[in-house]
Amino acid sequence: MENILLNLLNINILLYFLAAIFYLIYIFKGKTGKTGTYITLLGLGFTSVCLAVRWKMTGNIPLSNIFEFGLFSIWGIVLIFLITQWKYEIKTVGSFLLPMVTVFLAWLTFKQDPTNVSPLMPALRSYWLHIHVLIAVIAYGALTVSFAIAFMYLVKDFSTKSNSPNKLLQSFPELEIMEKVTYKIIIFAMPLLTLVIITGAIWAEKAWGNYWSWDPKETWALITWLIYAVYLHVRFIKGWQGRKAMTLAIMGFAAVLFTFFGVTYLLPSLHSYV
Amino acid sequence: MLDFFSSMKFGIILMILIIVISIISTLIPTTSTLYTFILTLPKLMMIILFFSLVFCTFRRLPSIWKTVKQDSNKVNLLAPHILHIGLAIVLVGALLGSFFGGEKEIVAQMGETVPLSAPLAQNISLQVNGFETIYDEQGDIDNWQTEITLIVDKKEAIHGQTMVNKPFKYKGLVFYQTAYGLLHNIIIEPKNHPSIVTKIENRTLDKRTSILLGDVYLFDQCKKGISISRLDDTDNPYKVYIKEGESMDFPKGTLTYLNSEAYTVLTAKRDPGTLIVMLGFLFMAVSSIFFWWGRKKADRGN
Repeated sequence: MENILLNLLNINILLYFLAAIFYLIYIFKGKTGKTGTYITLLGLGFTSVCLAVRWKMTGNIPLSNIFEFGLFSIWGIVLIFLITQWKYEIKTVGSFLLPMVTVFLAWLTFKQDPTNVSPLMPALRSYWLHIHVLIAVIAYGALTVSFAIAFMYLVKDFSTKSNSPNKLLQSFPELEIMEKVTYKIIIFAMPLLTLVIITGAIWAEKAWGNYWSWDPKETWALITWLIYAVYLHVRFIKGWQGRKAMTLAIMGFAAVLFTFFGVTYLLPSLHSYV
Repeated sequence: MLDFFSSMKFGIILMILIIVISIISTLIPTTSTLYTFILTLPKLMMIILFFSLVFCTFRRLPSIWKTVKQDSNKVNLLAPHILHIGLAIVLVGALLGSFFGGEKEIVAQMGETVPLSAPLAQNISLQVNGFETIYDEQGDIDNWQTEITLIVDKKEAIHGQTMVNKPFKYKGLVFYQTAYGLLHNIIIEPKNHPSIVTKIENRTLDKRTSILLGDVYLFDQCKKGISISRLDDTDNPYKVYIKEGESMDFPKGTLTYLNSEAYTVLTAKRDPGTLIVMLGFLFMAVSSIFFWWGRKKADRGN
């Protein structure tokens, strides 16, 4: 079973890598975008199979350590990306997102020991784990896609305002479209972030007797939520749409990354197993 | 003044302040006095935020309600205000809990009775009847369970169990299974010293006793019995299992394991704000639905 999982993960890395190449070619030549999409879809299928194999290996929904949560996050990111692409026809996002996904999956596969199976501690043996983390996976997946679009927006905006605009960036969607799609994704993800905090608090109340204990992971989840709340408020203020709001969207994603990696590796917390 | 207090700009400034202070609070060691001070600041900000949210919502809600009544496709406009109300309720609940709530850690061995003092409860004692580690089919620890009896006014009022994720509740009091421990009663017979009868409380033998055996050892409980492993020697891992009444030879002496006495660690808590906080969470969850459902309706309307 361990070997099957490792082989599947290696194929999955290769598929996302190939999809990234095709999406990059799409930026330069305006072709192969569709091929990139099909390969990404196949990659998503492989990620789903990897999750199923891991589930079979451990006997639990794979949501309880950094490898499992990371793999599920990749599934969420790719799923939200494909839905966004289907809804708004913005294939160029793949050229930013798929390299990120490839590197993340390679890091999980080669640095996190996918074959390691350790028993769940009693506090994690709760259906709240599944609810809380599954919502987080979708929320963080959506916010990753919003980050990629916000980043593309800033690159294009910077280039457009410079003296020598880059012709390559003409293949990027219009600034207005990117601004609107980023907003739509964040307005979808923000209620999910709210639910992540609520379900986490209810679970903490049941397991530890405190719905809020200013644990670093909790605090950083609150910081992330507040940054996106500031983003949503700021968009209503005249003159703050566009570059300033997109910078906030990027800062929000930086907080997501710190909640996931920074807190886990740098700050001791109740959540140190994730 | 009230206009500024309920304005979006004030809300944004407040949120940025909470963000900055919260970031600082996670970077300061929790043991420092500065941490305690810093942690009070976001709480203070939250109180200001409460008033800002309430003023903002009650100022805008009537006109928004009018708009929604005229055009049901704009129901999503209610979502932020339901969220504001939810947040305000959560903050009220948290505040109530911090003023009128209380908790106590209870460490007790089997048969022991511990009184719960005010403000938690008066004339109520907790008796520990039993403690058990529950294993799953693979032999891994599934949960810990403590059998308890509550004695109210010197009479047995109720029996029950508390487990991780399944706390025991009685009239506003909640009992959580927080931790557990074992006291290991052992005899050490060093080759060149008189024998010692000792009790290990902190899972590890103290340095003096360890030296008599030749190394520092860690005692732990598992399904096979009691495991004894050598500490601080990751290159040369060593683990043996021992049962009650058994003896085992070590480099500098013999260890006899007499028995173990389990103790449980529970947290008793009374928090009149918890239910209010949960009500606030419900409002926040409902606001999420309004965000999506309302927006979908608005998109369709356009």
